[in-house]
Amino acid sequence: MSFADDEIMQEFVTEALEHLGDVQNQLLTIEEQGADFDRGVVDTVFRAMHTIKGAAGMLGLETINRLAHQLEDVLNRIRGGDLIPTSEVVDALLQGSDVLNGMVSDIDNSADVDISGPLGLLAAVMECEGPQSAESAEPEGESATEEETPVEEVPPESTDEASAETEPEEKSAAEPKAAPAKSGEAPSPREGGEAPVETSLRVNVMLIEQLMRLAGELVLSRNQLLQAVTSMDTMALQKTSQHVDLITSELQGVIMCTRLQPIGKVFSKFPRVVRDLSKSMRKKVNLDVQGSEVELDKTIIEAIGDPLTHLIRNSLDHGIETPAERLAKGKPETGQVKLNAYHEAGQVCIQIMDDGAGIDPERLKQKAIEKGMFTLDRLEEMPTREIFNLIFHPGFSTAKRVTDVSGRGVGMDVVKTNLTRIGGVIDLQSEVDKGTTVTVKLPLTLAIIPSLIVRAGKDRFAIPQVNVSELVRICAEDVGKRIEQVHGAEVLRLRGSLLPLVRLRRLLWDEPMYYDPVTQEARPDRRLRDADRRSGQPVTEEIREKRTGETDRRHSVVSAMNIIVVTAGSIQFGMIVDSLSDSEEIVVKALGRHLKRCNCFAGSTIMGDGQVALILDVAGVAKRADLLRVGEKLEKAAAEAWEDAEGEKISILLFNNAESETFAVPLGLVSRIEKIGKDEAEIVNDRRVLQYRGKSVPLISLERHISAKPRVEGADYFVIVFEIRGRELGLISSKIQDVREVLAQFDAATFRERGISGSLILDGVTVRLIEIFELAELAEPSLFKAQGPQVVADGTDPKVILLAEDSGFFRRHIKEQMEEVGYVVLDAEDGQAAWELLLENLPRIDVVVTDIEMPILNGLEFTRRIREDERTAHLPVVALSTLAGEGDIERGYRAGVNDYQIKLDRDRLFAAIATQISGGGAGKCAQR
Amino acid sequence: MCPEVRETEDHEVEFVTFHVKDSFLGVDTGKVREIISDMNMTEVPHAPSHVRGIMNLRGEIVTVIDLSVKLGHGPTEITPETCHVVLAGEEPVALLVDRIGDVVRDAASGIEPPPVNVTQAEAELFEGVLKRENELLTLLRVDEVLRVEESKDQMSVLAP
Repeated sequence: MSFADDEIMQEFVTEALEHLGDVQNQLLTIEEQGADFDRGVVDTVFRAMHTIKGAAGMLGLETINRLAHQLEDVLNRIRGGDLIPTSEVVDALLQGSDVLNGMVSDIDNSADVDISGPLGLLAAVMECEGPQSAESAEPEGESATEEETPVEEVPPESTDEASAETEPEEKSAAEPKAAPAKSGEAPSPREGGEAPVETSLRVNVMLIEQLMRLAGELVLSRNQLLQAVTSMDTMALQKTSQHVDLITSELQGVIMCTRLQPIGKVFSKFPRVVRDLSKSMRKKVNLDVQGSEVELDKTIIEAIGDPLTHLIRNSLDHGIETPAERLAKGKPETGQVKLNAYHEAGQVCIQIMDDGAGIDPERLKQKAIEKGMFTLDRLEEMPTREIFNLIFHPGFSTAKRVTDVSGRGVGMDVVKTNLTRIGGVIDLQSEVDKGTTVTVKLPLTLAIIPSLIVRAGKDRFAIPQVNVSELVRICAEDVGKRIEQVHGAEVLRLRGSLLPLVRLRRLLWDEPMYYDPVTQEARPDRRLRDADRRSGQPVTEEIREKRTGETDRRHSVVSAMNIIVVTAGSIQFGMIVDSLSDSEEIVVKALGRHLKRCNCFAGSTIMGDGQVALILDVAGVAKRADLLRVGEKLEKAAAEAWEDAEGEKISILLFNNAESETFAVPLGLVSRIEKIGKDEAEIVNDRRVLQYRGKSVPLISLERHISAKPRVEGADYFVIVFEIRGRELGLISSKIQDVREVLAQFDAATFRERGISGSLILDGVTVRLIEIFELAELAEPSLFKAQGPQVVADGTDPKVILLAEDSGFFRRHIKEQMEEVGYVVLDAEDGQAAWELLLENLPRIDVVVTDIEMPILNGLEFTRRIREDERTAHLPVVALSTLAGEGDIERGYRAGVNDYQIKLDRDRLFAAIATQISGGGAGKCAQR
Repeated sequence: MCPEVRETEDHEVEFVTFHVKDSFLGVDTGKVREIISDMNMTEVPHAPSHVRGIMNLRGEIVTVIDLSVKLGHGPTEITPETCHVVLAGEEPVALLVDRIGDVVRDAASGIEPPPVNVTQAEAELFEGVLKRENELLTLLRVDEVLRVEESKDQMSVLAP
């Protein structure tokens, strides 16, 4: 047993005594409450014991470790509901903690204390009360002997073995794989909120000297200032006030410095921890520490010790494999743990990296499902990054066994909670067999934070800069367009995603206007009016505001909207404020106890003019605004859209020819858009042609080929350029409106003509969808004649295509096109129907063309089924989709698709089909 | 009977007095830190209704309790006479009152328990009544006034 150096030992003693000091009263409380005990209290005691156990184990204080371990076991049973804290039980606990207290107080002789008495008592308590304590029966036997391991070893092991076999996740004992809270000192002390605070501080003499100098300066300036005021000397006043300003800032800086301490203070104990731990676990680990000189506020330094110890222990316990395992995996015998601190974007980052076993996201998912935390669907949608962070959920643990080092259920969630409390953020990334990296981001100081000052109503509010991700301003005329309603919730379209919006003023005061804009005073009868509203009297103001979806005009001259995009944890939303003020460093002041329940606010600060401003707690605001529900609504809306049988989406480019008519083309077909001066194009042979990079691009005027009103000549216009049959064609448009993603529900009948494939209603306007290939054929027949519908020209049997497509519009449309060039098409409206159709007509079918998103059996599943069945495995499959991201395409190929095409790109689809038929056809012949 | 009242040597007690609506109230001088007339307050949305706001007192954030609301009347109207009575204590709290009165000294023996016809809720807030020559001074039980209510929810919550 090696005694650690004095400092660490001293720290342990201080901390352990602190814990034990509270334990007695807490135990008494538990006793008093009996079976209805407050779980929180038991948890606190449990964690205290756990901390002591871990730290003692680490320091080689075996007796303390054993006793604490036994106490912890009993508490764990209580916590799990297996043991009722009767007075006998509490007696045993009290006695145990007394002995423990004695040992800690006299640490040097602790090893010689006889702990058999309390151990026996505790074991007996566990045995008689515990419903399933069969295993722990033996301990009492040896209670007499001191050195015997059984007492302390048996109970823990039996618990975990038993539960590991049956339901590993059940026991509160299991620990998160990467997270086992267990580190001796990890979770507890700061848990309770009363962190042991150092009452003295070591400060460099240099700093003190500087402070003295500044204080002297300040006194001098004050004298000057007083003089200047007395004599009303404006010049002197200006000068001295400037001076005071400088000195104050400098003073502030230096005072803040006195609170800064190098993180090395925390880091210095880790080499020891790693050494001892790796020895006891028989692992080889090398710790690499960097960035010890990085400085952080004293309060933060004090608070990160435990979480970091915890994380390092995790790396060793669950990350780094045994030498044998490492060699088997082809890794060097010695594992690496890197601890690195550095500055990044005004924050301090601490990284803990190991090259160990890593975490398998699949296991995490499985675990989350077992624990009923998430559904499979939810997890499937989750990015891997988030999956890893599941580990921080309370009660989540993946480890299979309980070890001395890592613990039992007080896990990563505690680490996260403790870090969050000091404004930290934690993130975990891992790769199986490569290792795990945990990144902790911490603010430099808690006392002063950079913030964005905004206005809502007459008041200013500070939003911590860390929460602000961007500012969006929407000018008045765009408000209606960009802000939309989804099931009554306002959302903003921001780069393709929907951002829930919160109107700060309404959220805070529940009504749009609560103060008189003329007198700038709060209306005294506000509360009464609130009551009025509750009783159902309409507030016309608010209704009007809702209807128009704009901010109140009386109040702001410009009704442009300022939206602050904020993030808190995984929630991102937009806060609509009345105006933006400035970015400032603010001094955080706590709110009084009367305001503890106002969870929208994290505190307050004093502004330059002496007024108090509240600091918004973004997470609290999100909660108050019920954003969770909004998120659900959005999901629901999206789900509804998808569930719709024809719920596919397609991006279309909206444009005008004549002012009054709106047309659309699928965005996927557009190569580019050119703006053309009104005289730039030449007219050759009655046809407009644009010279572009040495080629002439024929331009199509819509009104010449389809029933459309003519464009007003004599203005600049746009040309939408397409590539068809290897040549570029331009479509003339007077105005490009927008790109929209719409449900692909087109009316294929009303406006159908050659060149128009269908129509839809968008924002109350009829939009006609251009069928660009038909239009091109109308406008440039030569282009098509030259190559002709060559597909099935050669007198043999027509080729047969099986088309699976759920959207009626696309099915009809694609089928029509296919038939036009001579294919025979069998169509089905979902994968299942297509599969049946395929089996019926098996010998005839040459190629399968399938949509991806379909009800009942989707395209990917359908393809897999084709590939798995001997009879059909040889068939070429072309997948069609409106969405073709990299991921989609890759998934398609993995499922066995031969080619992947975007809907409505006729040329490429037919080329793909031709290629597949010739290739696949050969295969078919061979089979025959 | 009156543990909160500080008795001077000759069994005299000393109170800071003030008016709230029609009531004439007093608080033991030892419990008052200072009196200020600066009405610059910041309202805290969603705060309990008796919390009028917070203010800056030389760098400290003071929670302002509207005594009138606490006593069951409507909110105090701000006039030039309105004052904050800042109470001594760990956490700075001020009482918003309509008008400040004199400091009153009297024999402790003049204090009587609150009359039985005040409501229960009010009785909890009062220490007793001091009979003066031409008026009655109601003594506030400061700790009770400042007690944070847990269950009785006076928050202006308007959850949708």
